[in-house]
Amino acid sequence: MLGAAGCVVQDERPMAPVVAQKATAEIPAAELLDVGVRMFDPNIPQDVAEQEKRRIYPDVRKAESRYMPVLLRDTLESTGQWGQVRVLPAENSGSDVNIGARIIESDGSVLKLAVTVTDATGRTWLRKDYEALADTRAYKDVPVKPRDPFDNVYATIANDLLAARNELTREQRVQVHQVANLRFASELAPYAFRPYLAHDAKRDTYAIARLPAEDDPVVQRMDRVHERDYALIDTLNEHYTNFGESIDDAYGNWRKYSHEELAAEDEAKRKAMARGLLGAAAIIGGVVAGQNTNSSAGSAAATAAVIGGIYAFKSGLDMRSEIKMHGESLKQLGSSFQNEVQPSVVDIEGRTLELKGSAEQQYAEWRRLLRELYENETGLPATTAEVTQPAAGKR
Amino acid sequence: MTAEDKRAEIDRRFDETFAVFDERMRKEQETISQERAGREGSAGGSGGEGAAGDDTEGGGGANGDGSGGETKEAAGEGSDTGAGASGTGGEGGQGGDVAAGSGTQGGGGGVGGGAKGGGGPRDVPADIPDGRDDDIVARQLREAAMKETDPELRERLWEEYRKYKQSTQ
Repeated sequence: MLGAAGCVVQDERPMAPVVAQKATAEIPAAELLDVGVRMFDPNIPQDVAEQEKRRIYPDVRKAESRYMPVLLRDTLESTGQWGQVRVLPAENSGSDVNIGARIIESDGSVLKLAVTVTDATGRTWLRKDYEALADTRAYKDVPVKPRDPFDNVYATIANDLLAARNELTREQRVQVHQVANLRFASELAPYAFRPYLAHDAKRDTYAIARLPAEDDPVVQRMDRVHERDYALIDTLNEHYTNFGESIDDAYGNWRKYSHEELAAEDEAKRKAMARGLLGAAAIIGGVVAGQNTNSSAGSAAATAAVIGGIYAFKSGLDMRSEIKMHGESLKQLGSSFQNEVQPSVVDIEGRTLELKGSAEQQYAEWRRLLRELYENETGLPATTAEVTQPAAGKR
Repeated sequence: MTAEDKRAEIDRRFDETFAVFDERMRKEQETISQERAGREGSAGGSGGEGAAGDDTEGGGGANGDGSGGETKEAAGEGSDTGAGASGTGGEGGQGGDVAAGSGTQGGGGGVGGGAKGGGGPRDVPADIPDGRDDDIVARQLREAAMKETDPELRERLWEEYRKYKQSTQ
């Protein structure tokens, strides 16, 4: 593993932007690694009471699990440090470098992600938590679209990814790309390609046993199939991009107002606690003073202290109703945005399934043709059992 | 059929399925492009919405009920009805300085300098002494009054403070 830790991207708000480090020199094609950003794990508790307690709105989380990978993809693309950067369906692990993330917390004020990055050889690059407070400048009403309030998280991940890549030798990078290609091929035609891969089942790592000949007819057709797989993923990416753009304004508003309500709620809680304590102190002080004095002035003082304490208590109670009001507002905001985004979530889920389902028929045909070709070219039966039949775009 | 013929036959079927697949992807991408163009068109048409920054845009914006406007009006009277708005008013309902508010959010209004509320929570009325000789009870009353943001409650706390100070002189 190249890195494992927790990372808190925590700053004053508004905060200094973290800049994703850009490439300053051209990277040789053989060393350019493709990156797959899988749909994030929305991390929605099954228990509805738990969802309410943690203010998790399932459709909002589902939307975020598709929206955030697009932002991370765009950040990585902007650096020029990588080959193709694609958002992948959740179960996909077919890129040279694969990024997975679980949304731990996201409410407009805080974003916390548990990120894991592995490469095609099974090497773990990163396993790290990223947490940041919102950059409040993103919530200002300005004519130009501001940075995402959590841009620093994505830029930090990009920089960590780059640092992890830079720890690899040139040979290791080239091998990562070769292993990714062979894993794709061996899943579609294991009888032909599995012998080229050395798989350590215990550690779940892959290495190259030997490389196939470039003029092998099966290899050449496999390359053409691979191009279609990329085309499918690219088309899905267009859907994800469209989805992100379609919810951008509404999601931005939800985060902004949620952030404001949470800040107001925190403030009300702080005041309620302070006043409650103050009231208690005054009442106790007043009662004690009343018991220990015989003078009229002392008695008045004690009475005043008790009254003051009661007022402070009452004030604390008033604050509690305000806290409750903020809680209700947050609930309304979440429900409102959830209702707004739900059709888009259903739509993108449906389209993804439809597209993959449609492509699956083609993949089944290609598997059959590859088998026929292999048997025709070698004169051998394609006997290696196909342990899994990967779905279209899954690999 | 020779191996060469068989390979040609397989390649022909590959080409057919590739063509079907490519056409499917092309149509899908065309649809996506049209949707994007449609959305960008409609977004352009509604540009400028909300740019006025008027009072009605505040907390209600999130809920679409425009209730933020009420928050701002109430603020001018030093009322605490900011809490009643369904949006994000926060403390904007108090203090009453409408001009100081951001104009875009119910909660943007400042907490100091109300039109009627007798000043912000940290402001001390002119007749209140400096507090150097406060005992512990007076100090608690003073601190409670200074922290209180509800103008009515704050004034009552100051009144208690005055009474207490008179009783101890």
